Amino acid sequence: MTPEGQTRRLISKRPKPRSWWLLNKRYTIYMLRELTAIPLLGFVLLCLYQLIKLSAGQSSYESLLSAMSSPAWILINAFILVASILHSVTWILLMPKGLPEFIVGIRVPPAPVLFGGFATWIAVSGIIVTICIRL
Amino acid sequence: MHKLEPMWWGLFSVGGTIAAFLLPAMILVVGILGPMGIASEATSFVRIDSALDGLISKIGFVVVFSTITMHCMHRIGALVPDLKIPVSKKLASAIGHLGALIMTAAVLVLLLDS
Repeated sequence: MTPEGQTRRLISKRPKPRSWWLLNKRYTIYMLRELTAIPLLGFVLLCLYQLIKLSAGQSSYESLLSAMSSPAWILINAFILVASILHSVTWILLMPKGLPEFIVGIRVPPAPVLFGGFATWIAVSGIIVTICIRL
Repeated sequence: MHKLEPMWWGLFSVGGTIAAFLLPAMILVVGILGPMGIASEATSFVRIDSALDGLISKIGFVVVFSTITMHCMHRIGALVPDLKIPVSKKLASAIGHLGALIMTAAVLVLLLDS
C-alpha cells in the first residue's frame, strides 16, 4: 500500500463525535431534512389511529376529533406541518439532481424543473385546501 | 448491497414525492383546519366514512399511506447509523421496512373490514 493510501485510511478511521452534524451548516441541514421523517411518521400513525376510531363507530371517532381541537394537539400538528413543509422544499430542491442529466439527448436544465415542482406543489395544496374549506 | 435495496429505495422515492406534494395540505386540513372548525365538514365522520366507501378511494388511500410510511421508515432506518445509535445498519433497516409492511397490512385489514 502506498503511504498516501495509508494516510487516507487513518483519516477515515478517526471516530466522529455523535454531534458531527452540528459541525457544519450543510450537515445540519442534511440532518434536519432526514429528521423530518419522524414527525411525518407521527402523522401517518395519527391517520392509522383515526382509521381505527372510524371503524369503531361515530362516537369513538368524534371523541378523538374533539380531543384534536385542544391547543396541545393543534400545536403538535403545527409542528408536524412545519416538518412536512421542510420535507417538501428539500425534496423539490433535490428533484433536478435526481433526474438524468440528458433526456432523449436534450440536457435537462434545473431551473424549469424547480419552477415546475414548486408551482405544482403550491397549486395542488391550494386546490386541496380550498375544496376542503368549501365542502 | 442487498438485492432488494433498489425496491426499498424506489418505494422511499415514490413515498417522498407523494409526501412532498400532498402532505402539507393534508396535515393542514386533518390536523388544524378540521379540528378548529374551519374545514369541519372535511373531517366529519359522515364525510370520511362515505369517502372511504368506494374501492377507488380505498386503493388511493392505501397507496398514499403505504408509500409515505415506507418513505419515513426507510429514512429513520438510515438515521440510526447517522445518529450513532448502537444498532447494526442491517437490523435497523429491516425493522423499519418490516414496521412499514405491518402498518400497511393494518390499514388493509381496517379498510376491508369497513
